[in-house]
Amino acid sequence: MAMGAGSQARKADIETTLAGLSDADLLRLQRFAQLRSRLVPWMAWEDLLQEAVARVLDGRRKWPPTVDFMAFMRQTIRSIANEHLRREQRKPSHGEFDDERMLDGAHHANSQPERAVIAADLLDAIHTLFADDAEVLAILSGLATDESPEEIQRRSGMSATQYASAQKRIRRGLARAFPEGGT
Amino acid sequence: MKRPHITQSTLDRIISAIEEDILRTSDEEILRETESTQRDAQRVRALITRQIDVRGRDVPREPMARRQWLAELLRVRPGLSPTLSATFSSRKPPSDSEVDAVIHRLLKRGVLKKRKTGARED
Repeated sequence: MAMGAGSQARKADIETTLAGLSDADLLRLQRFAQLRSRLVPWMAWEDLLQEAVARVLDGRRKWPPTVDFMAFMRQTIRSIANEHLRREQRKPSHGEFDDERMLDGAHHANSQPERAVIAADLLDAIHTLFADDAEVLAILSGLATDESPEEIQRRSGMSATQYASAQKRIRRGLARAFPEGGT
Repeated sequence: MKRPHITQSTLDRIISAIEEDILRTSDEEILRETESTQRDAQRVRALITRQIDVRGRDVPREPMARRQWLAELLRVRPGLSPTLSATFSSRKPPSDSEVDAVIHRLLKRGVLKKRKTGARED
């Protein structure tokens, strides 16, 4: 659903749209929040989604007139999760430190590996889940190197149908394996 | 199969691709794939409804009701306003004038709606 060109959606329209979402769209929102909350494990998916809804209702995130509402909400959730990630990265590391280290900025560097560990752990879990699925692993490998779906299909010898089927397995596998977005 | 280089951007691309796929998948398939469809959908709907409801309520008149209403607003919208959070962060309950000041500020920002009765907030 996209608004007509030339005007931002009014707040009442946002409320109407949110209140009128179908069950399928509500489940999509849940999946988006669950996926992104895996990258910010200190946040529950409900909190991430709640913040996204709040910002949209407040007008702090504006729904562009030509953008599909679900695509807009997906981007909003992603953006908020990234914001929390960056904020966490800026916090000083726990434990003892002295003024010199603070000035040095070394403590900031310490939080980078934490973020990388979260990403690494999640990627490990995904690979373990699909360890016996060569087509899925080919897709994951291609996505890691920013290949397009066509390039992945060409490289791995998959047809478009096989590719779509493997994507479905990724989606369903993650939904079953990580239902609440947590570890 | 070679494992991809582990970076945040790699994971972002993978998750983005899954999100795109979720957007493209038909409603019927989305509903079929979720084991507890109704419960999960209701959970999300309740979350959205709470946000809409608390925002749309007229500001109460009575001081105690106003204080309780602000407390509930903070509960469902924790990141809404640093002033609101600060008002309820100390052990001592906020005074009537502190509550009024926060409400006035939120009205001015357009976060809250004015009463439909025509009585204006000062």
